[in-house]
Amino acid sequence: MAGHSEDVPLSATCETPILTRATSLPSNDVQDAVPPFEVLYERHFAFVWRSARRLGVSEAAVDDVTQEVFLVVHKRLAQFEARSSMKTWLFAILVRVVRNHRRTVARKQPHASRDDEKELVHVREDAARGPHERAEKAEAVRMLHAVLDALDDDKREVFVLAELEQMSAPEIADATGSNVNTVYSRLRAARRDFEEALARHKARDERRPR
Amino acid sequence: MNDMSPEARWLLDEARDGDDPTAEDRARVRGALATRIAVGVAAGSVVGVTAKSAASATVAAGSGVAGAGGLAAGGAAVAGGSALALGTMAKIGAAIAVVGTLGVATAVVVTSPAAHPVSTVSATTTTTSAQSDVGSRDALVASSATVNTPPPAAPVVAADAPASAADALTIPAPSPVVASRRSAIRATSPALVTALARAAPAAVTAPAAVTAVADAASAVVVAPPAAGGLAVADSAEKQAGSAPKPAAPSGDIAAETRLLGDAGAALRAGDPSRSLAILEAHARAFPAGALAEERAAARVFALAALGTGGAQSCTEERQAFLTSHGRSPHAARVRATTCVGSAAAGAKDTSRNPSY
Repeated sequence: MAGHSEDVPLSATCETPILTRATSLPSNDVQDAVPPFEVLYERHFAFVWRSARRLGVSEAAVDDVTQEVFLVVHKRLAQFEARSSMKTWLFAILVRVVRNHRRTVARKQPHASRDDEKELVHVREDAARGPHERAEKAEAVRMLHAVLDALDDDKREVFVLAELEQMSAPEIADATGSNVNTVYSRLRAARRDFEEALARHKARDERRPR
Repeated sequence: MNDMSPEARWLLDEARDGDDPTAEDRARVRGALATRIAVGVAAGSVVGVTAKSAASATVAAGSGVAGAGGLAAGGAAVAGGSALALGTMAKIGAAIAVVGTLGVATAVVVTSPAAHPVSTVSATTTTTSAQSDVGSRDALVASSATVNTPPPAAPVVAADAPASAADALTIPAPSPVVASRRSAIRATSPALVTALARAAPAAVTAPAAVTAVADAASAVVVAPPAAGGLAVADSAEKQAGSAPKPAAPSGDIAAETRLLGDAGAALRAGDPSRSLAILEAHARAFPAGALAEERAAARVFALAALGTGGAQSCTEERQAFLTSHGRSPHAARVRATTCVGSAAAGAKDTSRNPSY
């Protein structure tokens, strides 16, 4: 149960709707015995997927990264200790997989073309796209990713967990393998960087309207 | 410092659920994952998948096959590129496990020749989750071995997947079937339909499972293991085509599957040479097998694992694969494979630059 004594989302002080809570079962799985893999997958797939995206994994690679995470989970499930919550454990795995992935990507093709990727995104969006609100949301998502890209990895991880997943500081510390103080200071810095990056992004957009 | 600007808040709120996966994403990854777990990371990934295709499938499955975990069932959904599989996912059950495992990408499904009593299929979550619970880990791992096992019950898949009519097989069978209540489903009767997208109709055989792949016309698939023979589809509407009879004996697919599974296992066990030998055996036995594409991908993985010894072939075959199967579900994994000494991993590489 460690990590749940302060189970208050870091951003609870802000007026953020806690959208993710209902679906992500933050602490139930701590008490329960380790759920079967299948159940785990169902429960946490969305979390792993969207977190991968928010940690900078491209649309084209998110399938692979997500699979990789669950493969690791599958392999190590027996070793999972209910000391931490399943979700933070998953995130810790995700972070490792994503870092690996980044290294691979950087090594392989520093400046290669991203045409395929763009095409992919394009196709998907077309398929999923409805009316304007969808477009607007997609635009917001794009902007969010662009702004997140401006953060250092460490800050980015903390920021995503705190602001988008509504995790508490102890949970984040658990997930990122750091201590609570570090989490707070990173979050503070991350928020500042986020604001700055957002401002820059907007300024750029205004200069060159899409 | 604690709060953020309204603009930042707005952005976070607006984009918060924008990264959630779609049902299709879920099903696709699930299928690929099941494959990788079951067949092995190497060969498995081969069969892995990405039915990012337009197909929309509904999968309703009943009881499981040999207790294999429900995970594999994803394969079926994947095959169709199900947009709705979400809720159904859980219900899909282990049914298609066997099949899903390997059939996924290729849309080839194999189960046993019926003769088995078909237990009532009930597409309820309960059924499935019970199955899944049982099947989960071990079954997933073992499932490549399960492939030939006669299913204790009938897998049922209803899919509304594009598949060319000519390629769709309809093999009606007497058995209770429950199709998920998605409007997309047109067939709910006991029948086995297999829509093969790229695999030849020959690939399908036994009265059994199903998978639809997404390449062409629209086919409806429902499959229970038949009690031996082919009956007439209950409803004409369900006949997705002229239901050509499967040309190849089911043993072929099963054998192909087994070989690829063995190749994957060898690779996982750190023996790429043996893996290659098995793949070569597969190539000899099934030069134009239904899983030829999977074999080609598996070769790349094995050659890459071979290191310097396989560098040359690895680079060539990798490139060849990407050239001829650029849109293959396995292309992403092949692309992600690095051959020794070929840092410039090939012209076809797309950047995986994480920056978005």
